[in-house]
Amino acid sequence: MVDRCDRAVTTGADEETLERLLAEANAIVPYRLPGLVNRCARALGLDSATIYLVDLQQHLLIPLDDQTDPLQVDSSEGGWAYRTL
Amino acid sequence: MVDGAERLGVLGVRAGVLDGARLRRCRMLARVLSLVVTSKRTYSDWFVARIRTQGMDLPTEMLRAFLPPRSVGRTGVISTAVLEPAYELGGDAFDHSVSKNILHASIFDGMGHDLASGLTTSVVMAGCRNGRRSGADLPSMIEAVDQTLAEWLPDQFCTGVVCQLDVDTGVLRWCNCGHPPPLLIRNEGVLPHALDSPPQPPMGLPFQLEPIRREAHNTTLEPGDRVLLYTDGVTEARGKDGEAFGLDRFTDFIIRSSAAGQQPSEVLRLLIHAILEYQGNALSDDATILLLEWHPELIEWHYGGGSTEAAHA
Repeated sequence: MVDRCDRAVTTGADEETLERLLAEANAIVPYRLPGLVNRCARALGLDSATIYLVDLQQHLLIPLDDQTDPLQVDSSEGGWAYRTL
Repeated sequence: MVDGAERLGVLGVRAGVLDGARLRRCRMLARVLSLVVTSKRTYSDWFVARIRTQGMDLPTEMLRAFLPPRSVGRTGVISTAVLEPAYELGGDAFDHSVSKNILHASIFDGMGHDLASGLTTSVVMAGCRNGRRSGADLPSMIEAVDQTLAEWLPDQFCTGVVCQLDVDTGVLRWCNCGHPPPLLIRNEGVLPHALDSPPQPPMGLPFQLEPIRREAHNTTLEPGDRVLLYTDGVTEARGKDGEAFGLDRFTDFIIRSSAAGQQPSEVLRLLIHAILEYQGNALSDDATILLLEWHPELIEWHYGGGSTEAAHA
């Protein structure tokens, strides 16, 4: 794991990994996206990543995976990122 | 996460170390994933259901299928909109799209609050899109819509304002069909009656009375101008004491939030929440707002600069 992170940092993400992940993103069914996002994050030297989509009324940021709680747009760090986009 | 001018959400990232290289990769990941989400969300019920927090009625389901993203645009020109009640729309809708150097932006309010109202508005939106995609001039586009409603939905009508902004010259053309006049905000103030025009009947009515020619009007915007389209549900929203939200409160909110440095889409998000709260979270009529901002100085910089920062917008 450490090796892979370091290589990613020093030499840039390797092209084969990038190609495989992009091909997967292209073909993936939406409900499996959270798993792919995590694999992408690890390939880039990060621990994990989660997509949060804003709800229809823009009150909440709703995670795509079921294990994470939604964030309030008005009162969270994620919400601050959204408000200032 | 953004797609063009549209805010989709955010990407949450965990990392033991977050140095410059990893931050750059987070941004790259967010950009790629925005494209992935955008390409899949329109036709995936899984995504659609995910961002709903309550049940939606059928007329709303129909009308929403016609709605474009909340925000469209590019560096220097943006059109952004909000509408409520999100899950129980009557006949309100907005539409906007950029085609080459023209930004099309419109707002509609179909008479009544039932499936027929939503249907009327949907036909009007489809008619206007059909017209603009086939290069029809503004008046003949509306005349075709008048004719279609008279033929297929003869008891229905729909008010609206249809605008076309030439992004290069700032010339704004509009046609107002029985709708509250658009507002022009310049130098942090509303320019009174700037976009008023002689009254014309709502779409669908002319053929019931006597066919009329539709008329378009012109004005030239100044850099930094904002144009505001809205439906009467915004200004007529009633508070606990029965007092209407009103035009002044509405425009003051926009001017103050913009002056405080909020982005146009964030201004509207805050405003529509303020209107909902004002009316105790139960709107009696649809409230729709569309805000258009023109900053040509940024457009020129974007074309001429070739700077890497220009690509971020």
